[in-house]
Amino acid sequence: MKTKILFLLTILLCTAGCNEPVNNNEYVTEGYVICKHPCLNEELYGENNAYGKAGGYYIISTDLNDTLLTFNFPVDLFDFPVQFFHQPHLYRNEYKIKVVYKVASQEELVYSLCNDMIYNPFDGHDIQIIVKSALKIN
Amino acid sequence: MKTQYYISLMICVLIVTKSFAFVAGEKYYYAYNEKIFLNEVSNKMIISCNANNISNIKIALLSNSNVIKTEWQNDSICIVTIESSQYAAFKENFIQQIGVKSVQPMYITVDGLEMGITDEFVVHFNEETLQSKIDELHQKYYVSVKEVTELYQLLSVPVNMDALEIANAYQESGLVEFSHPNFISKIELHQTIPSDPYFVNQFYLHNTGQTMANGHSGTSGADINAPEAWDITKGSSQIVIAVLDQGVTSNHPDLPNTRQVRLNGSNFADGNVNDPSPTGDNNHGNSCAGVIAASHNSEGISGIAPNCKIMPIRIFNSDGSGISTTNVANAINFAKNNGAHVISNSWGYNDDNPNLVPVIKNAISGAVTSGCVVVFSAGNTANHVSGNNGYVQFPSNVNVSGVLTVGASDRYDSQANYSPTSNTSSSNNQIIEVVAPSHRAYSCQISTETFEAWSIDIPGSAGYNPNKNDDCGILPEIGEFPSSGTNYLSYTGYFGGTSCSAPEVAGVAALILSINTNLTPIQVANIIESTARKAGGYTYQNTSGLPNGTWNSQMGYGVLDAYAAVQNAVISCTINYNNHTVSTNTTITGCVINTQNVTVQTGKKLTLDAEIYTYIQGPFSVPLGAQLEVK
Repeated sequence: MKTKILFLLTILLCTAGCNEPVNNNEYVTEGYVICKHPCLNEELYGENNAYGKAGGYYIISTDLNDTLLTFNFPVDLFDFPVQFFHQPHLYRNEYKIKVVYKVASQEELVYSLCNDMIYNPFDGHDIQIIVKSALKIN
Repeated sequence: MKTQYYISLMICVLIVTKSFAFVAGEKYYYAYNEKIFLNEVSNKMIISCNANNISNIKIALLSNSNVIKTEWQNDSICIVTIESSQYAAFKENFIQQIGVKSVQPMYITVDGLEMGITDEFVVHFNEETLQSKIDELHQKYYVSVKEVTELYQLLSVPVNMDALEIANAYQESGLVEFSHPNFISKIELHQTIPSDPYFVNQFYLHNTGQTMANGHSGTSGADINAPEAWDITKGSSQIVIAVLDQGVTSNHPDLPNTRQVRLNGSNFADGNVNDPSPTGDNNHGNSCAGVIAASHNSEGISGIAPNCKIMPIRIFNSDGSGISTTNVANAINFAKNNGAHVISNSWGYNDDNPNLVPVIKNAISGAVTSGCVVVFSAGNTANHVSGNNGYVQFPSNVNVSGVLTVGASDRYDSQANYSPTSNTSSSNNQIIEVVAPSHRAYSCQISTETFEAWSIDIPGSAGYNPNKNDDCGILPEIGEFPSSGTNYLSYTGYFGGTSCSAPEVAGVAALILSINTNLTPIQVANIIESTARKAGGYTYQNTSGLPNGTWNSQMGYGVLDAYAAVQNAVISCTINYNNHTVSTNTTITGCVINTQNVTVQTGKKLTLDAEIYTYIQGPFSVPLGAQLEVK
């Protein structure tokens, strides 16, 4: 089993607001991919989507106002090294992106089952989103 | 269950007792020819038991633990402490009738040294003493020779005879160099230590401060007192613990299929619906099951309830992801509907809403209502060294009475660094009930710490062993267990989190139910909570809404105590049926029945239906035409 760690996030609080609405349901923000969901063994989650392979990942906005969780992150956007999955804190500001997203509806929420060997400091109050598009920023 | 009946033994005891008489006077023993004077301790007696009756006698003594204190010296000798005023009656009416080999007083020297005497004494005959004289002496006092060495002969006296008096008679015969009782010299609690080779690493079961495979050592006694509990019970094969997790290996060397209830339809994840085996490296279910029930078979590790059975139910897919919430609810329901007595859950969702997934909450509630003990790990959400108290995750925080929420302590009896702290002011039921020992911290929290709980692994290279795991950092190499042979790599030392703590509680719940199957989930929870050890130097206080004793936000009611819990279970089902005239057909049921001063009227029947043991003490009258049935 691979366990993932995200301890930096424990000091970061999510606010209710989201960045830059682009229409009634969609928003855009810039931030960093900081880790995958700690409870997922694999870097992928579910079926491939329109953007390629999908994964459960956390994104934190540049201004630290939002911690966003998505289960349809287009993992092909980056070539994550193996170490990123074990020690993500070493890559805190490495993978910068701009995403357009919508907030997941009640029906779209994913509840990821965790075995309790995993260190999992996330409190479940992070905003779960559906990524509509993502752009890598150098 | 075997029931024992002692009327004939009572008669034998009386006959033997009448065969000898000693003149009452000062008590002493001989140190060679010097008299060392002794006084009887007014509130202690020493009982000696036959090996074939030891478990039943222990249960009998436990059933009276409201009035006595017991200290086992080894596997057959026990010091019983009781109020002086009750000493004689208890000895006459109870102790001598439960099948003990002998009862002796405790003595004390003028210097204040307590000298325990059993039914044994040691002699060394003078060189010139003829064998015929020795035989004559042995026959005169009906002693039997237990052991002969160059230094001494170890002799035992008949049931209910006084070893001190007979030892003195030997000394006064002039035939011996010395003759004195075989004094009890060392007092230590008897414990059943398994011979499983990796048991030494299972600090959570038995912590003597030993050095473990990873070089760590903890605080002696920072454990759940498992060996002490095993002295009373190792569980019943009738009790089944469902493990909802990643599956359990078929015919694992420490958990053969004869000790599993592997059911069609028990795989709710991907793959064969009828096969609840783990896939890939997903060993988490094995690890949980091993803690609960690994066999005591001189192989691998030791489980808490090694006679109970595991019902594996898979709820994680091969890639480690969880199944849908409705299927999780179905899995809980499956356990309930297929006879699980306990459901062990080392999983959850990262949210503190106690109603997060109503279908799961309802399934849990249904399981508890139908009699299943439901145990959940609280989650590993804290990082106390960074000031993060974490939270109690769903569904361990459901508002369902009887659900046990389990946090983690460590090898020092302290709160584990990742174990969440309760928050009584939260509206989200942020309450830890008990903690049980697991690893101390993740390596990204405290660099010198990592997983260190031992359990079973998928045999061969799959699973946690060899080391390919991480805990948020790379795990240190501690070896391969075992490194060769038939069971190559069938064990792991890389288990931990509250995942390890919950199955410890599930295992103890199974032991409790093995003693008394009639307990409800809430009663089992009450026993576990009320008997937890107040460990770690924390302040435990009476707390509103938490009625089972003092409580602490970090440790709950305290550290799980298997021994105290099992003792309490015995007491919970002991029926005292005394001072009755049976005028209608009557059936008395319980796990232990003590009865005395009963008359069954002619034409009537009394049935004593004990699951474990029945003690009948006089006066007890069953005249012609009346019936007594002891089941």
